Amino acid sequence: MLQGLVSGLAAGGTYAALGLLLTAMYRLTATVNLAVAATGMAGVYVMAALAETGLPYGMAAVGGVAAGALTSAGCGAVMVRWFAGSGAQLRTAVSIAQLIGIIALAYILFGDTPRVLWNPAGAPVGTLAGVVVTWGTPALIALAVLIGGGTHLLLARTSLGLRLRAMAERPVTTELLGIGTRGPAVALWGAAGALAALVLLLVAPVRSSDILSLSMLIVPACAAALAGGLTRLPGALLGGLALGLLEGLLAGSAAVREYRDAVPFAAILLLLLWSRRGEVWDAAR
Amino acid sequence: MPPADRAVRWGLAVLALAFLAYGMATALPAYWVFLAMSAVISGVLLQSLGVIAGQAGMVSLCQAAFAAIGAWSTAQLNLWGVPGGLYVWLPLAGLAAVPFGLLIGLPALRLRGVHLAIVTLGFAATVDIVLAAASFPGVDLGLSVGRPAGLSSERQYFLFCVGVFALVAVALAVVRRTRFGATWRALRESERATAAAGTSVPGAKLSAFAVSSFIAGLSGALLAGQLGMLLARNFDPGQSLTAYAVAVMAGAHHAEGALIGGALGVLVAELLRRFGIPQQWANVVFAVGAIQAFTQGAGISDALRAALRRRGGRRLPVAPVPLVDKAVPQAATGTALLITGLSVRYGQVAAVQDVGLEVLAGSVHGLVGPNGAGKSSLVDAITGFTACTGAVELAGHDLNGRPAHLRARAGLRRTFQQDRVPTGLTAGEYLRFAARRPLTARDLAEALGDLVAVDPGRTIADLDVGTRRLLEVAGALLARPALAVLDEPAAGLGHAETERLGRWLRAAPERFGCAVLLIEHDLDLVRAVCSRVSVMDFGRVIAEGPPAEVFADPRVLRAYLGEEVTA
Repeated sequence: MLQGLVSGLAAGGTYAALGLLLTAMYRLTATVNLAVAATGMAGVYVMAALAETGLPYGMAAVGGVAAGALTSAGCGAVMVRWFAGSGAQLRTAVSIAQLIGIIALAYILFGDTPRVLWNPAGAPVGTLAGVVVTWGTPALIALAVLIGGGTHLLLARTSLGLRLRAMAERPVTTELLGIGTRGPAVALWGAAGALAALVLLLVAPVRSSDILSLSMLIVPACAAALAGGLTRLPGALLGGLALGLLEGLLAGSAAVREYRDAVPFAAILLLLLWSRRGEVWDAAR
Repeated sequence: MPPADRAVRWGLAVLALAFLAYGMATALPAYWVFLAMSAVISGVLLQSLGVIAGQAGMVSLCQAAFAAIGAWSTAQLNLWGVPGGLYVWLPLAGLAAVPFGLLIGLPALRLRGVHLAIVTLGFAATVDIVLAAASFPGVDLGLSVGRPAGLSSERQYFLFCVGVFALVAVALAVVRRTRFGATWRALRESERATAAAGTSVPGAKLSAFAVSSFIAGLSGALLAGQLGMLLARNFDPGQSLTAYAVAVMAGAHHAEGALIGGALGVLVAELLRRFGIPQQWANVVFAVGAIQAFTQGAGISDALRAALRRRGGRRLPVAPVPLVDKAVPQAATGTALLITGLSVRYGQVAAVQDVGLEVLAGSVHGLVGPNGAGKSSLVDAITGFTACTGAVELAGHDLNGRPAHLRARAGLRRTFQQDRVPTGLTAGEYLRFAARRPLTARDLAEALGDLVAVDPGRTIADLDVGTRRLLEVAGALLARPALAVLDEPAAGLGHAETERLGRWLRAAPERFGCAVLLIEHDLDLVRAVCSRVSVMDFGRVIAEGPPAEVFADPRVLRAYLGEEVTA
């Protein structure tokens, strides 16, 4: 049982990091960016392509992170240009179209053979409950905490965070106040893409690394974000970790191992039914 | 267009399409028949999205999963050798998907927007995982789904698919013209307005999910019959996502949109194949097309219909019909609404405190007060949109504990301060939807009377906010409720419109046999229309009586003008 928990830590870090990215983007851009894992996937595949040309891993990884940032910034530019005044549902629907586009372009550019990726954090850091823990696990959890902490500071302590929050809630009013938020908003999308690429660079070598699987990491990420009601950072962090640990536990049981990937859906349903139990109407008044 | 003309046109269109389908089945090479079949089958799937996403406005990213359940059921029925073949399996497969549709619909009762998108995506991923782990029935044995006599050739099966598509299209077109169909489009705009028109929001959502999953199940069964052997890959979450994008791009809430979407999917793929371009470019096209449709707020089918309407000439403005004095239901006597000891609290804030109010049957009663006085909270409370303590009686019947839509059906109607008239309906459809009773064209013309000049065939999206507001008022009164609560109906209206509204409201109790509770900031309108007025401030009623007396009350002046009372 303890073994299961330890082996689920890496997955937990992944879900928490992506869930925090979703939460941060929802608060700052009023979009549940369903394409966030796909932008990270784009980064991973660009890294792999660069590495194949003989570039050392470090430089290829920098290229991959830059590609993730560019992809995400492109999505953000579309959002800012045409959907600045739209509601969260429409913006999320747009991100679905972007998700499809990114996956399709990735298949076109990189083909559908999964890559064998070098694991930058594959070295063992120690043994816990009989399970060898690689550097990837603490790195992912640290990354998650960094994303959470960084977002918190941005939101609470900086004037840029204040502007972005205003933009997310009332874009037109914010513009009318003479606050130009388009540039920062696109930069924010870019940063989210870079972070997603960083997360996926750590994760892809130890999971199935095909394009669709990596992009669909968005499902457990959504479950993690929902644990924080899409707005609370600590909730997303804990939710992601809990989800990973639960998956690790279930992987130990032969009866449910095949279906353990269905856990996020069950988690999503339960979390939503609980957190929304009181809400009845679509608008406050 | 008169109904007879319309029927003839529809008939001709159906006949032409039937000939086209038959011609395609006989004349096209086998390969193209197969492609056309694929187009029609995905057209059926897109129609299912047309209901849930196009009409009801809910983001569903699991339609391929519903189709997978239909296909799985078909394969299982085939394995069991259930008699009747696809003719019987098809509706059964559709029905098999319905419980899953309802399962997803149940959380949707409280979820909407982004949350629903996440739930449906999660469901799609889960079905994919389960299918990948447990293959389709019969696949291990090499048993493919068989076709019954009469459908064995590809050409026959193509015509069968066309038939199913057409049946679904006609059924949806018929439903669309009913009040039930209007419910889905109203839901898309505002749940509160839907409930205020006496329609159960949970019922509307669940029915949309049930119908949509049934149609998606049909498409899965058709695909099972087309391919014989099924793979999980045919229904992976990517398929659901693409279907959503294509449905948005093509405007699948119209049958022709679904067909165009299905055809586009096949044609683009075929063109790419011929030119040796990777197949995935098709999805890039759909992604861009969907984003383009989102920027326009309309898909291909909407654009086509708009172009046809333009060609058909602009509609002429309709002149107001003079008010006809006609024997209408007698204004009832007694009390329409009796509120006692009503309080509304939001956490620590008491928005309404111990309010009592009586509205006499057949009267227009004004409710005024400064912003934040608790007027709208009071309206929300009596119409069932906010929890409250105290008693609400409508014409002697206790309304406590009843949900909003049942209060509306019991005869307590309301309008909203915000523009909540569903823009997807025409003016006539909206009035019938709101009235919950059959209305003739004459009824409509008379009710709109000298209130507002609007052609019942105009789409509400094309109307200005003032006209929508007046339509909402007319709709609430056309329902002939015991009491209509109008929340700031004159906000945003011009002077002339407000005067027209005032005249119309004065006549309303007698014409529609109802009482009116009018919440308004325009005190001239209140003076002109109301027989009694209640004034609220800080959550309490501070004065009540005939307008002339009430507006001379020093407490009222202080509440409104901040004047000190010099006693």
